[in-house]
Amino acid sequence: MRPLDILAGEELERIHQATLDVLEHTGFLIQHAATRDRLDGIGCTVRGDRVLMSADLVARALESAPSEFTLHGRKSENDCPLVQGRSYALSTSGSPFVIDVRTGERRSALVGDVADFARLVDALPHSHMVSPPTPKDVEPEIVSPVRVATMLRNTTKPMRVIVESGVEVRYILQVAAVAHGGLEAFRARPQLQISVSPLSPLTLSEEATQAIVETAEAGVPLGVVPAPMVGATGPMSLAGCLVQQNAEVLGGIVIAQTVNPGTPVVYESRLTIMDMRSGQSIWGNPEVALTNAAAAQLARYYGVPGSVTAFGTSAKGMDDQNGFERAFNLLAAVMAGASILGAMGAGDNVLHTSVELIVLDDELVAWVDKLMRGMRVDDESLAVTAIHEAVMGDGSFLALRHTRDFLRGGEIWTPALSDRLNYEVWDQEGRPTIQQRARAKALELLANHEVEPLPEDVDREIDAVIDDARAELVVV
Amino acid sequence: MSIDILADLRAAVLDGEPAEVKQMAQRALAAGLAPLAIVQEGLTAGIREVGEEFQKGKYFLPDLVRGAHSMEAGLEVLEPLLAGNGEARASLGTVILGTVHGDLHSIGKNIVGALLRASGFEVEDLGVNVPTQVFVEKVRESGAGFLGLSALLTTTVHQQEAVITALEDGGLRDRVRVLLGGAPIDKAWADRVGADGYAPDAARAVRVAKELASAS
Amino acid sequence: MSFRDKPRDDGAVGTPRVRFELLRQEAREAIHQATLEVLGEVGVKVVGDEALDILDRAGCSVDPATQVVKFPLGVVEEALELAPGKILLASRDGERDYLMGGRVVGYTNFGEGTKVYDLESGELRDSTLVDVAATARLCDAMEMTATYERAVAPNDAPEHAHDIYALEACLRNTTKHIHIGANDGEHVELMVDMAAAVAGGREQLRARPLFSLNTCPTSPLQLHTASTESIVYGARHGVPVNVLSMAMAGASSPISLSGTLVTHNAEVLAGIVLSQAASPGAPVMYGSSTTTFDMTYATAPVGAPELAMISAAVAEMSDYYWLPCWVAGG
Repeated sequence: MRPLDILAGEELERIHQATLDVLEHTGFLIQHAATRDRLDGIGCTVRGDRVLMSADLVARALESAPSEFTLHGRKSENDCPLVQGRSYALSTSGSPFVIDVRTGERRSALVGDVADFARLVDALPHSHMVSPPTPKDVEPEIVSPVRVATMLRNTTKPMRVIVESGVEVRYILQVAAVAHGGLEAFRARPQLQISVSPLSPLTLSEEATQAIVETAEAGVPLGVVPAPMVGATGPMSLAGCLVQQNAEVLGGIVIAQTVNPGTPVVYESRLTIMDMRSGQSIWGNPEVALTNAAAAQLARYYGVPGSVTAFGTSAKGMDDQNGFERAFNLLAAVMAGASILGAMGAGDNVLHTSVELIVLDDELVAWVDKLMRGMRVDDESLAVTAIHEAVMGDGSFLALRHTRDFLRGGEIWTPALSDRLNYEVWDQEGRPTIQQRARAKALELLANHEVEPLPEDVDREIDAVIDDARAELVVV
Repeated sequence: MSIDILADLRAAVLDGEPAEVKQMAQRALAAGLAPLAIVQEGLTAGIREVGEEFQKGKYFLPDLVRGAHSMEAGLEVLEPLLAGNGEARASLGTVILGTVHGDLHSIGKNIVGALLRASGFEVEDLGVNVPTQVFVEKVRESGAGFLGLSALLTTTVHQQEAVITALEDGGLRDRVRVLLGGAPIDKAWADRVGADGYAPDAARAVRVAKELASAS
Repeated sequence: MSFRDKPRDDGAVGTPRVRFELLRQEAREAIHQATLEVLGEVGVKVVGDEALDILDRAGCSVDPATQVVKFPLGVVEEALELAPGKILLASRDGERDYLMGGRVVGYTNFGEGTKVYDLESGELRDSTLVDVAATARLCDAMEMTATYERAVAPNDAPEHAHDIYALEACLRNTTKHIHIGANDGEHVELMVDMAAAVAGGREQLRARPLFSLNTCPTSPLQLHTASTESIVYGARHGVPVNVLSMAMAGASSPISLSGTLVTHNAEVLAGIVLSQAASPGAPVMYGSSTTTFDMTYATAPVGAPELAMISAAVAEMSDYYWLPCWVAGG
């Protein structure tokens, strides 16, 4: 199906022009002298720490960024080619909390949870990429290398990690290189996207800038992921906040393409709304769905893969709000043609994540995927012959060969989790809920799904890299 | 050779192809196989496998109904010969089936009919929109042990009660077990109108009928 | 002249800015053509002497023995051209009228349930007249509900007059437009009398219909007495009629969704032809509550993606014909 354009052509163009205006006249605060110098050298205007970028430079950067590339699985059947018309579901990044599947209570995320999410995504058919929570039981300085190591051990699917600094990137790349038999082999089939978040409005810290530079130098897929909050760290108007976020993403892309033209980049939108009573960042509002759809459209316009928060909700428990906010966010993101659908499993404005929700989201993705495949319309599916046959027979289509063949051909979706029982049977079976089924399935998969372990020597080498990182980075 | 024919016959039932099943039943007879063996090792074994695949979640209702139709097609060829040999397929009883007066919905009834046939019941399907008196007359003349009444509409479920009352008035209520089905039907309703059995879906309807058959 | 030339004002106030497209124009044409083939060659079984007579006079070919009616292309196209693109669903006080049609979207509640979760006990029980009144009052207060559809059946009312009792409860408990089904033509007359009493007369009711009728063809391809009489009597009184098919793909319609749209379309268009033949220009809606059929549990899952797809496609087909559309409920 054709992607949905939430913005009319001239609206899109005006957002683009306003973005260029911001980049050229307000510019990006870049707290990294070497990068400022580099940008100065190619025609940017530097005023103090602020770098003003020209429209021409932005256009050149977008030209050198590839429009399509692949995030690879350890096995090629898990590859995710980021091409127009395909969307991939990605688990939540960076939540400090998880809902413990055994107790149902919220607690801090642990390294064991990173392994669980990676294994669960590995097992589920409509979950394509893993991103980790932020575990508490590891030193914060090395949390990202540890998360990447843990994911590499527990999934054969592509992964994404958000980093804070360039040194982290160095160790992450070492870990990945070990797992893939060298940096060249990893670069040829990258299983990892590294994301860096500018600070809104329009600021890149020294560490974040270094992270962009290190990732681009290695030629590894880079995500630029600002998270402006409407009304707080971005304008209150949705179009205005999109302009600012767009400037932040494009600024990051300019740096990456300047460092290493051709670096694969992902346009990531994490724009949220500030609740004007509590000050909280809200991820379940219709405005999030709307701006996600607009961001996905901008990414299509620029010809780079787009990634949005497709499963955002403000709900804490497993209730109707949780279901409808996630479903609508997802639907808007998929319809708008986002390449990567982030935040599978997230609840409470992405503050917690849960294996039960990942299992439920897998079902949501299957549902939406069925919708987006659209309808087959040809002579056989229009079924004039089958209609004649049924009407002349007993009036039922159930026993027709046409029915059997189309059923086997996947015309009708068969859910993995949803309730299809009639009331009486449902009542007799103790009124089971989808949450119970999701929980049971999560526990079953965590108990039984095996990911082929990395070779022992690779495992040891990864540990050695982590030890080095700890020795260098952790302040005792 | 003869073993192959029976295997092919089972496969055709499993595939739900009535015309093929009919042909193969004829081929099996031509090869000199006994009609009873063809029924038991071909048709019945095939339909049992269909049921197992359904239980496993690999087959769906269209496969069940097509399997049942295939079995019927085979029996059309074989049953007269069984009777001629003085043999008979073990029958669990005869079920008169129909959708009550005012109700035109046939799907549920058709699924139940097909599954009952496949499970060893004889089924006499009176169709949809069947007047109460037609049910009563059929019970009177056929001597069938079961009567299945289907109703989908909330406005027609009362006809189920009307049929039961008419059977009582005609002094026929003791002759027949009355089974109710349809989306608006629940156990409370079945109890209230004095039915012998009720099931919320087709697979359970067969189970209920079998239980009643073995109890009689 | 054909329905393709009907005037379309798709820029009306309230038209959504964003449009989604499930079926391309060629697909809509293909479904229309296949429908004409089914209407012309397979036909629709129509029950009711009056309806058969009306269709016969309109130029359909009627087989009195089988009651099967075949619809020539010209008759179908003429009815599609006559049927209005927008219809007024009037409220009692004129404050909350809903002009249905075009690309403006309104929302309404579900009907007709036969059970309710009791608010006090939380248990499921048979619905009653009190529940009809309560849901009407509730929907009267709900901002996003454009009209009130009789939500539940009054199981405690006399068995053969649920519709009459329910309409009374609705009229007394909401000023919004009411959507409801009728058992047959005689009941339509009674309901028109009742609503006319509220509106101030039959002509006032025709100008501002306070209620509309809902009727379901029987799939596949049958219109029975309740439907034909609702359509004909409704058309004569200017009461809008919603011809709403409730097929289950794979059971009472083809398993292929586009094939289901064909039988669905044929059923609804047959009803629209009858309506326009009974009274040219009569207000009529293109309705759908068609979904798939669960091939394991034999249930009709209205939460399935197929329902969303069929509803979207039905909305696009009615847009193609420029008819007011009602999905997915009834």
